[in-house]
Amino acid sequence: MSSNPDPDAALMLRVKQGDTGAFTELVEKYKQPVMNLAYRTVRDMTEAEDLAQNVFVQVYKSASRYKSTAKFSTWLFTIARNLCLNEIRRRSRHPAESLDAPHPEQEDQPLQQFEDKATVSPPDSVLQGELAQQIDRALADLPENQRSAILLCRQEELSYEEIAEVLGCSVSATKSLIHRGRETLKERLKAYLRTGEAKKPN
Amino acid sequence: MNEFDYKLLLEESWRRRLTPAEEATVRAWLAQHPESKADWELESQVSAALEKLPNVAVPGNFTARVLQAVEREAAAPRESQNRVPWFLRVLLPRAAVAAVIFGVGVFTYRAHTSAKRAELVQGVKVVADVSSLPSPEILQDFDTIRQMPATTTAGPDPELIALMK
Repeated sequence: MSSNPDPDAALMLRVKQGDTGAFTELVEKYKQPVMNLAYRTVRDMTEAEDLAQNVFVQVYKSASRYKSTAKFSTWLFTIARNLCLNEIRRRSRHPAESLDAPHPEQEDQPLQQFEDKATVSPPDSVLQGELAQQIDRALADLPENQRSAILLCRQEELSYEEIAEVLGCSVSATKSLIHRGRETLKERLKAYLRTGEAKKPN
Repeated sequence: MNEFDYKLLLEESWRRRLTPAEEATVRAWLAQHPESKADWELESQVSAALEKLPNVAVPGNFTARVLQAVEREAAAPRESQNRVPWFLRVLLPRAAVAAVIFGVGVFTYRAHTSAKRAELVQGVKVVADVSSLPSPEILQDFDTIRQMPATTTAGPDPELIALMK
């Protein structure tokens, strides 16, 4: 196949043979992007953790069905997205308010705990934090397929073909989803990006 | 560079940072098409903002929890499998399928046989009816009788009665 074989596929072949060390390596490598996708889909920290955990359990259980011709990350994100969609469907059937979900009266408070990786000066950190919140909110308002396409595209650095495979649509449809999502984000964030102030919702 | 190439680079910029060479190509294009400049800048800002989107905090014991869950999952089917003898687990579904196929076969055969039998009975019945018909000799004067005038049959023939006396 390819001259540069997928190192994760090699790990997965070891998982198939019952190598728990290889599985741990995969969990360590992908827990962050899977958590990001899960949280930004379900908007609930506890459910996102459970979902991400289920994704990896599913990976382990389905290891025997994994074919090394498929790129591991594509396979993993397909499982992750399907579980997220199941959760959205379950919620629509049994709506219940989450304790973790943000409330309108708490708008000034941070939406969720995020990793503090960068050390920046206070004014920068305030601006960065506010921008992050604005993007987070704008992303949350996007339709699920547009949001997933944008997150997979920007955060996980998959190719368009791989994103299309995860989303179960053509490459042109994937690009169209990203384009429409970004148009909405531009509209929502235009004022903030140009002036540094968030555009207040009507 | 034409507009198509510009769009391709724009799509690439959604996915990754452009190389300095690609950046320079875009800048040259924008110098010739200033109307696209504002949109490009906005696109770049959205890309940069998405890139800076913070990671969600992952619990420190996440991997350990996943491994525990995997162990639980692996143990659960093993326990349930141990309760049912292996030959039943393997043979029962196959025996069920075989029984269904056999049942359908027997039913089809019986239906076919009884249809054939009914056909045969019908045939025998027709033959039996034919054998009980009167002898063909009875019909030897059939044409003569049929050609006799209808009036003669309306009442007794006095001439014939006189002759018979």
